[in-house]
Amino acid sequence: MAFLDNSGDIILDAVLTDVGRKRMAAGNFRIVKFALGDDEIDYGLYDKTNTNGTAYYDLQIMQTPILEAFSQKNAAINYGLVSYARNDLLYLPTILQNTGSSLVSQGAIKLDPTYNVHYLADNTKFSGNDNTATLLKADITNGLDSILISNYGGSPRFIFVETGLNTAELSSNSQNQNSYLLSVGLNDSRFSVECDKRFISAVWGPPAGANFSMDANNEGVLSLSTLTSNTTSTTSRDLQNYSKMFVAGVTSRLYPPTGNDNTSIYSAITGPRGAWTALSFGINASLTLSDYQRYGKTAQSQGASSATYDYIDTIIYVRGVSTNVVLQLPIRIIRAAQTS
Amino acid sequence: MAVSYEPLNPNTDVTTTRTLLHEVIPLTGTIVSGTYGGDAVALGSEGNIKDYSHGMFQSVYDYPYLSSSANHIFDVTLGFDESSALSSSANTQNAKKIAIYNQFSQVLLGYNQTSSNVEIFESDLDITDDNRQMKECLFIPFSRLLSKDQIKKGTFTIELGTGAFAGAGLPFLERIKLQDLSASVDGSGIGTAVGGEYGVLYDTTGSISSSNSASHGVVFYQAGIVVLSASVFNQAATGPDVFGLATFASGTCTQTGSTAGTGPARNPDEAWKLSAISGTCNAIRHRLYNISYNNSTEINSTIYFCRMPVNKFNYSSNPTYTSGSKIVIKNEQSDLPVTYVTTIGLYSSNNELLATAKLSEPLKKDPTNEITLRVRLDY
Repeated sequence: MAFLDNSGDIILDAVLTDVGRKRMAAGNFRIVKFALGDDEIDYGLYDKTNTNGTAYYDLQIMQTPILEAFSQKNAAINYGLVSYARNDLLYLPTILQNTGSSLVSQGAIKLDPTYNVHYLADNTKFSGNDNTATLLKADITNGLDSILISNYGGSPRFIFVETGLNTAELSSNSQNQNSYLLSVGLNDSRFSVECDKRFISAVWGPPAGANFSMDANNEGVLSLSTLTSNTTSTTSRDLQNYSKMFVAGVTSRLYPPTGNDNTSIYSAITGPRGAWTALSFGINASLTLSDYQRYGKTAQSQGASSATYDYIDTIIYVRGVSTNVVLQLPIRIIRAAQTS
Repeated sequence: MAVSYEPLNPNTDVTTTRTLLHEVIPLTGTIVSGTYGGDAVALGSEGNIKDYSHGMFQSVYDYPYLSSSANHIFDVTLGFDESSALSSSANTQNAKKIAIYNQFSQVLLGYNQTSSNVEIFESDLDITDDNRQMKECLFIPFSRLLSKDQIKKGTFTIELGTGAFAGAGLPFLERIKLQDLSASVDGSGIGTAVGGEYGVLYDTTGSISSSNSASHGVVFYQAGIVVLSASVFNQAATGPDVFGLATFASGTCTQTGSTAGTGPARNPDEAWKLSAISGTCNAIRHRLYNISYNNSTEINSTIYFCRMPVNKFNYSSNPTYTSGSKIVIKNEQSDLPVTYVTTIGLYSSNNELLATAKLSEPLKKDPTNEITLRVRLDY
């Protein structure tokens, strides 16, 4: 796609998407609403300190060249403009993965530094007497701390995700949580998880009663003994081959104790915290060797040992339903190398 | 992955329009017989002229047709009714010439219920009166690429050379210019048949009299087909079925196939009877000085008025919108939020993206302004 000519009047370049053409062919093409996007804009170019005055603050942004319209749904509006009732919001939530050592010791996993992926091991596959995770933990830098076990909810290992205002300008106390997040509808009671349905068939999330708070010893404690599975999915409207599943979001109760605020030891969010969730996944049981050959690699080494693996790399998108903040998780679906 | 949707009210935010778009189509004779021919190339061997083994018509392209850049612009063929004085089983391609005539007549005029036969073309607006019949015709069906939905009424002009055949430029020393003078876009001055509306092509060097003596053919607007009487090449005589241009076609056009050959020079009568269709088409192209018309494209549009109220779309989920969770364009809480719109997504009721529109430059949106973007989808 080329850039649009922006030398004269503003023009609007409109195209039907693949889905639009399909709907038109089927006779059920009906537009009922619209949304707006600003994917090309880098708001970092907004120069609030320009000495020539306010008219120059957004000069670079206004000169941003715009690409022609795409017909594929993936590339249309990746983020989008949002509407909030109040105009005085100064902060908007961020989404972060918590890989702090205190959470890792309670089951959270972190990115493998060698391949920059989270491993999702299919422990139904063995090499000799060792299942995939047992083999893999010896090969990778973080051992089990970078490995999720497919379809396993007991004594869970999980990816821990938090939303909130990641700023040192605001205290993480409950008053600020209420003022800046809860009262303005910026807290996520649910997270949507979009996965490639060819590879992932289930998403595991926190059950009712899960909690993340400071205990009597002023230590952050995650009360999460199990994860619950969700296999109910809807086809993603935005991503090809993806389906969407939902997991619960739990409001964080990690408030600073009186005196020293040590909560940042336990949380990835510095300021007021919104919701958190813990995620694990189930590998599609119908994946075959030919799938690994087509979409990934087979019989590959992951470390110093002689063990080999089949794997497929994919991206999982975690989105706060209320805040629309998105986290991309690189996942490596892996199994001990198989012949079928 | 848009999150904030704004509904479109079908009564106030959506409207449909119909517009007619016209383009001028000038077809110069050099494309038809000169640009890819010239002295070194025999007539009929030009790269942009395609003959077929069945020999029933000839196709004209705007570029050598073996190139993927070539566009088909029109065909040329001819024929006569079986009741024509020219029809004889001894003629070259007699059956094919009758078949061509019948095909066009059947498609454009239909059957005569009385005689149970196809109608005869007439160069007037009344097919039933059997006046001005054209039993020997030249047919030029234009490609839809050029004529689009229809030829605009009152704009068609064709100019033919009626001079001697041989010699550079000689055919065009004398010319006849035909035009659908009486036709109008308001529907007056046109006839209607099963093939759609048609106008009569008059010799603009003459006058439109009540006897229509200056008419030499018709143009079917929706079908994009021109039907000319062979008599158009007879400037000396009167009446549509009389041929007199002695050197209508040279020897090179009288071969019986598409291969180059020589033979006796022929008048239109002889060419229609004794020459192959492709050979006579070569002679006709050699006399085509100019064709010009306006085409019409009907565009049906749905216009969506995407209204951005003052209190909507003032924040962004763009990752660069915040830094450390703080909105980067704000210094303090009371500053107004600002966004820059670049894309509009149009959605179905279940959030399927059906169409997208891009602005050529970012559009600033803040709570002090209300913007309406007009997105037009053409069908």
